[in-house]
Amino acid sequence: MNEQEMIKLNADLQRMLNDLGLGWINEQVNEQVRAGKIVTKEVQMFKEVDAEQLSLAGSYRPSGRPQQMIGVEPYTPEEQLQMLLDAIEKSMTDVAAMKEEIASFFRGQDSEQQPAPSQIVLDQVEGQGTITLSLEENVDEERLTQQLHRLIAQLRAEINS
Amino acid sequence: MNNSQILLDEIQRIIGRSTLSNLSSATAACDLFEVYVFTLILEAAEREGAVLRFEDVRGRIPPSRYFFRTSPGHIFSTEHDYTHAIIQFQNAPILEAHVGVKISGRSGVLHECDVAVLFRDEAISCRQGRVVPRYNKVVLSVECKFYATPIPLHQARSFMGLLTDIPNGDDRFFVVNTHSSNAEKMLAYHRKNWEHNLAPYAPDYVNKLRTAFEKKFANFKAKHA
Repeated sequence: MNEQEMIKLNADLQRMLNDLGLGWINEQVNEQVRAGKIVTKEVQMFKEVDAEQLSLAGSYRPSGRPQQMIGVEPYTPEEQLQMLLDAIEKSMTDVAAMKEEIASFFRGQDSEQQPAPSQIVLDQVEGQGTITLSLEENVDEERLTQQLHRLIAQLRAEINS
Repeated sequence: MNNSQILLDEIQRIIGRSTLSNLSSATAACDLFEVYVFTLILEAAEREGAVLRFEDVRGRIPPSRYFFRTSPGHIFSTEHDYTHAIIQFQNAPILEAHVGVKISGRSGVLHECDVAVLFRDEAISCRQGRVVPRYNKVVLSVECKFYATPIPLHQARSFMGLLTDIPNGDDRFFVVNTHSSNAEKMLAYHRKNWEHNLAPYAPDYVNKLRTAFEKKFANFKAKHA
């Protein structure tokens, strides 16, 4: 896949996430892209030269050994695309696993005096809507996650082709 | 239709059927993470011998739906029947664990604790008086961050700032589901409690954090024995 195709695929993926209401994943990836890639570079240091000595004001010349410095570089289109795919996999895997773990914890607390909840409700901001997650729902999240990993692996193979 | 488009359509279909598709904001995903950390704290308390109970903001046993308050929320709010846990150790003051409550800092400014464990008498007083718990009555608090990418450094910076106003020994934790070498470097340098890569499928990280919580509860019991 060439760079232009990667840029297009990145845009298509971001559009897909927006359509699914998951634009926050794009925002987090884009924030990371904007911040740039931290790299360590060897840089030749310069020293101010006595202006009178060279009869040139404000001259600098290389001085001493190069130093290790921290720099920032932009991510390549391929790196940006791989970051987005990582983010999709990470969020889906983590959310599915957390939900299962929470459900399992509350099932373990089930007693006659205190039955386990069938749902948890996340109140986003007081009075501004809620998200209800069923803890009994029979959605095979693990199977869906495995399918996603397989599809993304295929997409990565396409990118590398 | 090319191969990438076919794969994209299939990915969209799979995500659309998953729990992730219900979480239409980063906050919602983070809220789920907070509830997950809340359960880890309760597990740690149980392992240290605590008896757990759940009740809502009105003091009743919650029905089949557990409401979790997220930012910003007050411990006395009755907007919903918010659920909290009661943690009872033998011969020690009773504690409550909450998700997403505000507490008052040293400066008198309010801050949100993603997950907080505090004295039950303080919690009851606050619900009765419709006021906010004091930072020095919070025995354990966790700042939780859920990210799809490495965590930005500013989140660790905010946590460091928060600690200056809600200090309490080393009972404050910064927990993320992802990582960032920069954020970790800063927190480690300043000797703060933090854990990264926290997810149920990463048992090493889960055990490490739960053990740290257990130690806090063990110290709490010893202090009040």
